[in-house]
Amino acid sequence: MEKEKGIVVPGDFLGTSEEFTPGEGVYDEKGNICASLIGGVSISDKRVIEVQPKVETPPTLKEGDVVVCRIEDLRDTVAIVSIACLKGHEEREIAASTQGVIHISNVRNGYVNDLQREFGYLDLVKAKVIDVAALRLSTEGKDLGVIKAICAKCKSNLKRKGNTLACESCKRVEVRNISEDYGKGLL
Amino acid sequence: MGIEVMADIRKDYVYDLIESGKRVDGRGFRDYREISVERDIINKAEGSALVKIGDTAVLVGVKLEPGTPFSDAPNKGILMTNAELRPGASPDFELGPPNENSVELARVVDRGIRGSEAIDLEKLCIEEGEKVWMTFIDIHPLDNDGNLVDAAALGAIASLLNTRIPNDRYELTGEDTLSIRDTPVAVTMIKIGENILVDPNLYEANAATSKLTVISNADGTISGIQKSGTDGLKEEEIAEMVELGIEKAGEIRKKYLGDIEA
Amino acid sequence: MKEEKIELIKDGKRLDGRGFEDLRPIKIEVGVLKRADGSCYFELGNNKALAAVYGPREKHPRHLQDAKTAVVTYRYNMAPFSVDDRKRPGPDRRSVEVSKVSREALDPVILKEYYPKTAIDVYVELLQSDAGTRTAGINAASIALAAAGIPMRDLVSSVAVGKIDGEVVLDLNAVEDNHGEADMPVAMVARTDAITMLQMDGRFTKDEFERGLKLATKACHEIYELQRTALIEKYSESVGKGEE
Repeated sequence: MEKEKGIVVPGDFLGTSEEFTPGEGVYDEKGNICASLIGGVSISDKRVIEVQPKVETPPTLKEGDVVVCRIEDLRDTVAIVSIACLKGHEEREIAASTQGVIHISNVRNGYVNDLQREFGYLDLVKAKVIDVAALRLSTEGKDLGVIKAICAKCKSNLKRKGNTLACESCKRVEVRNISEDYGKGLL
Repeated sequence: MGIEVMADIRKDYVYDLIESGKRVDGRGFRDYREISVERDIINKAEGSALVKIGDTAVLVGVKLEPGTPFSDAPNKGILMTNAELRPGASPDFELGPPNENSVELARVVDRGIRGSEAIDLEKLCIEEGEKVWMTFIDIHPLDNDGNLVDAAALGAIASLLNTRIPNDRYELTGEDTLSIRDTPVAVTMIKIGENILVDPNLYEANAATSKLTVISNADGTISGIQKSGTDGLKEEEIAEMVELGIEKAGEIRKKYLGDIEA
Repeated sequence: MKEEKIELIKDGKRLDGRGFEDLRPIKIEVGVLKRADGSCYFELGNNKALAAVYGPREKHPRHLQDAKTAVVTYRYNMAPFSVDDRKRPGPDRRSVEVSKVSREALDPVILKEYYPKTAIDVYVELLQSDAGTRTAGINAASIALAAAGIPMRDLVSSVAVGKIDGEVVLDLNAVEDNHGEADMPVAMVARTDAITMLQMDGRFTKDEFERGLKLATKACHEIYELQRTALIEKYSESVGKGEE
């Protein structure tokens, strides 16, 4: 980061493509590089010109991001999920298609025999993005896993009891891949 | 979808916090968020008010136009209250005709105004059986961070207190201001666990299973109640809420409507 | 409304005291709503417009998604109390058309290809109207989109020109619009002079049309500077909403 100009807005001319390589927050139109976001301009040592946004930009997913997703379908080796939100951007919808998968091999550190003992239908799960293109997620890690679940029988909330979940109404006990943040209401 | 899921997840957090005696925004259980009332901001309306309760903002406009009275009330003006939950105000609001939430909002506000007889409808008669003033109260939420109903009801009465009768536009003569006889104020409370809270913000409203709105008048009488939500309330809880509602309404009336009392 | 003749120009001035090429006063507030992803309040004389932007967010139902780009919707709505005679709530033919041309005015500057399969929803509420509402709405929406952090090639600026008492004038108010001879709302990308909305009704000579368009172009540049300044002031004062 070499220098800071003042704030620019979309459309502001920043330089030509002979001078700079376009980075984030800019676009190149016929050799003219202009801002596409509101923010401050920065130029790297390698002449990459960027706009560092001063506004919250639409949340998109990248590898390593922590997300909350909901189990939509459980198959033999894979859970189909819809990704609800990106941690740190909970007030805004994700700006992309949100259907992802958790493969049985990415559920926990160790061998998993039965996916049905890890997740339940409509569970809310904290997971990490491991592949952006295919939206593959992983729940390996103590803070990852199920954070909210309902009873398969009576649909009441399940409360954590040690390593299992117990239904508040019908006393049914279920097992899950439980996150250490289960039931806290926070990410 | 993300917004709904987060609301679901936060329920536990809100619940646990309230059980420990605290609210998400640090208020006391019986405290409102900061309220502001700006009157007469729409000059095309005969009366208007922008009410903010915390980040919730509701604009209310009153329009009057001559119309035909109902045959069973030939000497009475007509009051109509309408609410539109415009999608700009919340990701939860959708385009389309009024749904049950917008109809409920309008009808609860209407009930307070009507039940308190705040407007002297007979004074809105222009020619018995032929022509009366139709009074339209339009509720236009701009930003929904919970408790639209209290903001809308306060906006409605604040607008009415400043409403001019547009005689000139329709080449009529008569009184120039609407005569307002009472000041109904709505107070909404929720129950979370065993706790009763006033003025739920959005997170709290999502976490609550039942909600009660009490609309009360200057003399402490009640002219509108609405219980909503999916869980029951006990008689003693309702009694507590009604008493609290009347008390809070008195405070709001004094602070935000007092100086323009008719 | 042309039955009663009103003199709209006296001693070279318009009824509200403006010269022929003067805009009404403009007031801009950026980021006025909590729930919306981007918002802007825009006053043009007696017009009060509020724009709220949501998205990009996954478009539902899925069959309405575009696999290549975001889909932009624009909904223009007049509050029932925004006009002298109460407007019945709900969409009408006029607001449907205004919504369409306004969307097309903004669509070319949005870098929609960054967000395939999503929706960008723009909701514009006219809280008070006094002619030129669609131009106020587009100006507000353009700022709200930028405030939502949606990548854009440019801002869009909009104004109307018209003809009153035989003169081509800028930015008609409601009296002028009702009793005037022509009205022409224009939207453009000020930096490139690309016109993205052009409508006209009434009657212009070809020469008047050309002068009108020049006048609109000049005024759009003025409005653009105000829009730009409003955004810069807003985001210079503090770090942006939610910035890490």
